[in-house]
Amino acid sequence: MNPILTSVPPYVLLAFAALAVLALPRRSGHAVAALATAFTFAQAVLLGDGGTGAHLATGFLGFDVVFFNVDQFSLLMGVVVGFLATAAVLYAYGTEAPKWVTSLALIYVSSTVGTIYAGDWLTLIFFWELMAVTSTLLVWQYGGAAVRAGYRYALFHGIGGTFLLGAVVVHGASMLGSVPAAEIFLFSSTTGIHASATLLAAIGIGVNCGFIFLHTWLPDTYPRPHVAASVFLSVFTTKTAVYVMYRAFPDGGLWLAYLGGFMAVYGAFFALLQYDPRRLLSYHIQAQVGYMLAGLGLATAVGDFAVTGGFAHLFNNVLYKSLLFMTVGVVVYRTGVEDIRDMGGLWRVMPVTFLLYLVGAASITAVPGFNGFISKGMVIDSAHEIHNYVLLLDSGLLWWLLILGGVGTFMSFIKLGYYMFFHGSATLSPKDATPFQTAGMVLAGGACVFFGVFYYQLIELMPFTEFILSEDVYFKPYSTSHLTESAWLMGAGFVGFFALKRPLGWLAHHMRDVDAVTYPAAFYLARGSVWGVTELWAAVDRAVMTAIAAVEWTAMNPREALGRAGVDVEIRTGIGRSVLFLTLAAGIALFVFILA
Amino acid sequence: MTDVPITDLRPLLAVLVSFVAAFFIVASHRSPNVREGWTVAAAVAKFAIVASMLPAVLDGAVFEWSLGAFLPGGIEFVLRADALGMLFAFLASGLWIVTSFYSIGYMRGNDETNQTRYFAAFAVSLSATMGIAFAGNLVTIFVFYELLSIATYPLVAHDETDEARAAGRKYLAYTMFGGGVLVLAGTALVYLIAGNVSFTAGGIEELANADPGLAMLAFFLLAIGFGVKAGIMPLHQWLPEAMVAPTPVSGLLHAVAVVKSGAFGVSRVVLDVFGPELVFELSLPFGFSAGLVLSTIGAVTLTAASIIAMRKDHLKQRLAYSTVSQLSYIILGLGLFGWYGLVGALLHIPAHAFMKLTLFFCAGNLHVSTHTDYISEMAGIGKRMPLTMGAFTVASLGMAGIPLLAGFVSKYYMLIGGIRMGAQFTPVAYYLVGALLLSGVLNIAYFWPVIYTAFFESEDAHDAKPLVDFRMGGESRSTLPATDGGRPEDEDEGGDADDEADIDEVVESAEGDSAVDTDSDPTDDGDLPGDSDIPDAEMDDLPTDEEGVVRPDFDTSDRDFSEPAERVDTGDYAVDSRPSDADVPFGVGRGDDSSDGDRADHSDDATHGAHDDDSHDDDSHDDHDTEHDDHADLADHDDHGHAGGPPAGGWEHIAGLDALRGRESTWFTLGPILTAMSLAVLLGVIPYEMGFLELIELIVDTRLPEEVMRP
Repeated sequence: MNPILTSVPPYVLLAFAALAVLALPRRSGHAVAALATAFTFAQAVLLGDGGTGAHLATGFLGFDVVFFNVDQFSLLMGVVVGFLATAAVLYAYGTEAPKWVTSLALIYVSSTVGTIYAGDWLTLIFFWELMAVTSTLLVWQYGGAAVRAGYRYALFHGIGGTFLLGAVVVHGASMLGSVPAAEIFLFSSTTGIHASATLLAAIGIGVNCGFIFLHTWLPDTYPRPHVAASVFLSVFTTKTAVYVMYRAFPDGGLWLAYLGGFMAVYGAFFALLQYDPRRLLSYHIQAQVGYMLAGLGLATAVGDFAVTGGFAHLFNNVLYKSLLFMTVGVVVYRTGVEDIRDMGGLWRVMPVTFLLYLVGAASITAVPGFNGFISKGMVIDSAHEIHNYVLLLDSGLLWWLLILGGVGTFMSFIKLGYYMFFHGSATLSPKDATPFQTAGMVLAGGACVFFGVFYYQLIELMPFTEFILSEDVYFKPYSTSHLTESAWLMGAGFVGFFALKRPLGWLAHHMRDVDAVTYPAAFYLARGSVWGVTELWAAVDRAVMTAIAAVEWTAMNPREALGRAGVDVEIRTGIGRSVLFLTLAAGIALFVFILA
Repeated sequence: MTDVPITDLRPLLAVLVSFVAAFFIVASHRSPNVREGWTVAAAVAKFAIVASMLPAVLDGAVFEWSLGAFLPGGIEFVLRADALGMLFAFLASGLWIVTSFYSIGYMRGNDETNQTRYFAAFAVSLSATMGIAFAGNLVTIFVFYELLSIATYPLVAHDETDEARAAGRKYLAYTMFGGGVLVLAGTALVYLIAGNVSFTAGGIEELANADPGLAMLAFFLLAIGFGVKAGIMPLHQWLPEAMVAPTPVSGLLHAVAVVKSGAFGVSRVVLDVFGPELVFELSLPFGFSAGLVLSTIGAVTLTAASIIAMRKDHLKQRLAYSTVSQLSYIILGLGLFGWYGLVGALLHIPAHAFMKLTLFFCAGNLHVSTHTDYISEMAGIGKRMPLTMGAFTVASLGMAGIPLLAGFVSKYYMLIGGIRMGAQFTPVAYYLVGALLLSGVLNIAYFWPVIYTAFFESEDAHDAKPLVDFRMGGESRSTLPATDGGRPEDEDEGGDADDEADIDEVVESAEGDSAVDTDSDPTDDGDLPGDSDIPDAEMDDLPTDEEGVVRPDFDTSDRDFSEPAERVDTGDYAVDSRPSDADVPFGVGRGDDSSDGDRADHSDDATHGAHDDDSHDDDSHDDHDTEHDDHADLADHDDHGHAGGPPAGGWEHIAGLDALRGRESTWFTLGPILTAMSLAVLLGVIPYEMGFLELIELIVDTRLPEEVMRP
């Protein structure tokens, strides 16, 4: 194993590349960026062959840390993040993204990669917080409406990061006593996060995953910045959160699986109500993360097969979700329009984009032949083994939730494709994607097709490869039952879309997401507390000042003071009398004091 | 590890070197460069003396120099350089070098008067600070504590305006007569019950055997006495008012010397007078103990000050409340009984110092270069001052506890300490941890808007600040003068955009013949209020005719012609709503900086002294009633002299190599800013190699009982 590969953490290179993008002219800067991300990808692929281990283990802030932890999970993340980041850099170059966009995106990717390769909780929370900051900067860069949205995003992620920081600290404090003090944060000291930190960790990571009620930042923020920035944002935060969820809960839990199931339905449902294409895709991020969490949650109930399914879905999702953001981005970039009702008939004038959109849509809806089909199949198969709440067809609630989500996904992507590319004749005649945009999209789309057809290659990159490929596991994605299931889903999707078009249109204008309640509540609560505290303090200050002024006045005008009180006496105090009075008072005080 | 203190002159030298330099500074008042040279020389010499003692102290040595007993009972006037004293001294003397260069740049850049007095007072106050750091017993520290208040008074009242003098008086009242008296009382009580006032690592033993009620009283007298300087609520009010001082003084006060001496005093009380164990065991009803009460005061201050900071529009005021909040981290940490909590608390002393110094220096640089003090005028200022605002961004990230910066390390340790204390001793500690975590989010809430408005908002379309005072989703504002008579601005994005019109539009529309009138049909805005609906208190007092046009009463029959005519403010004169740089009599925009001294208008300024205070006292503001209650218009900021904000064409853009070369300002100010910022980053990445963490571990290791020692 080449020592360079195990001693150069890729995030350092990416950080330097971020600076290089700013310093160099646009073309060479982007070339350096693409090389850095490609290095990340290549390094992860090469390290898969015997490079695992806790590299760069050192001390930091008084604790033992591992800065470059290579195992099967971090490697699969490294492969897909590096690959996708390269495609996204090419896409950014082709979309005329300003240098600052690419630079901030790279530093964001760098913090993501740092989180992925962290071998202990301290390093992980370290890079997790940096991810929140760098992604905020990337959103803010665009200016305009994105700034306020970025501020809300920062607050949301600040709260989430605080919860996770609390979880890490509780974990560490709970480990004191059972392991040496310096090792309390290492992953190797224990599996998963300490039980006392479960709730904190679930909420903290759940914000980034898009748990229901914690997800509203997704559709609020992702549609706002530059289209190239959206591509970067769409994949890294949420998928890294799923990865960290696995680190925290390697044994999963049915709560996680069911939560994933509900997320799949919730996300798909709200996506159906959107007319902004990037907002629609953002809701689908939540839905797709639901599938991943369903897989990871079944780690104990079903076993490693479910975990592999979850991670395979993560891997594939990075590829096709970014592809979808890229294709939608091309349409937005070329037409300047952000409402799908104003688009239409573009399939003739933008054939390349349309074709790649079809690849992305087919992957996300799990059409056979594309990578989503493989991983979604694995997750749904795992769900089929859960019979806690059996509904129809001898299948449990979890299975039905995931199927319903699948139908919803079909419906939304039929809607998106129909409105963007069909739906009347083209009133706009934009040009097709630029060469570098096409390059980025082809990379991602090609991978989608590749892993759909050559799915053994996908399993090779996954954890538990030998187990999946062994005879103990029934793994035949292209079996008849799977293909029939897929056909039913597709049929239901088409029927559902055209049948429910009218009611969904009505709902779209009347149904708001929870942020219609939570944002005003949070704002007015914050404003109420701020105003309350400041006005209260002002009142106290006024009262004290008045009291002091009154005392001062009384002391300076004792005669008038007494006069006002209704007593009319002569007050004459000379020095002697004052001294006597003070001495008496001091004497009494000392007397009391000594006696007490 | 030596148990016996080594007699050495260096603690005394460290105190005296800048005291002596003060005389030389005054002597060379005719040659400013020589005078500044004395300051720098004294700072370097002081730091060298302190640093020379550091390696030995890290090995456990203690240096002592004693004047001998000067009070009955054998109380000596003694300077002792032990680990805790070295922590504060090393920090203060090092930062004095940085502050000196910044002072030079600031005072000259702002053309300040009385610079000799300033530099001399600075030198004397650093001398007093060293005295506090090296004080070997309660009496010595009290003496230097009061000396510090006296020495810093000329700095606080430097501007010599009424506002500055009032702030100085308040400062003395709080710290000398409030804090000092309490410290003296506490010292006397400790002597009475223990017979010994020397700082002893782990606490004076006799106190542990003394009457707990008296010990508790002594503890609170001392803690609150020192806490006044540390800005605990409700005794913090002097801090925001001291913002009237020049910025290097604010930096000194708030980051380097004064408030840190307060926190340092509390740490001496907790660690060396009572000892952490006794502080934890002195119990009060409801399961509280002295230490827990201290921490709770810290937690309450922390939260309340952050909440107040969110509403401040003046940047230095916001930073002042941030200081109050962050200092309470230290107070909170000192009450946590355990190794991690104490390490975190002591580490926050240098961590906060570096970060807050950076922030204040940036605010000062903004003032010197662009005369902009208010956040609502800072939209787009990142173009004009990229390095300054970049450093501000980095330091703000540190305040919020983002990793890579010093704030993360100290907070991390305190959190672990709090959880540990909660698990081992009392669940109240969990609430303290919660307060610390909440504070991180609140820091984001009040620092991030400054960052985003500087870099990512534009001068002609930015959110109105402070954010809590305006609509949810934001209201659009422009700090550029509209040169075309005004037109309706597009409705801002906002989540729930109502059909209310902006006040800006209304005021603009009243300026002249604009398209927006009460009878013309507005395009997409609902109902634009007419002139008579302007919420202007003065308007309602003026006579209007049938059409709602203000017709001032020019009846001269009973007018006193020795006075100028009454100013009629209809609220829609261009000169009122678009202040210019010209010195227009009775106008909103005044001529030059308030350092110009004697103008009749200054009485107005003085009454607005506490303008940014929370107290909206209507008595003192006759003419300008509810102005600052209303939306932050440029017209409201009439007390900061030169109008801040961008020039007519927007901020000048300084980018690329020009920015890196420091074209935005001078290197006298930029150098210290970047130095302080780098120190904050270094402390966040290599706290051991910088010496601080090692020193702090030594301090805490020698003062804790077995059961809570480092695990």
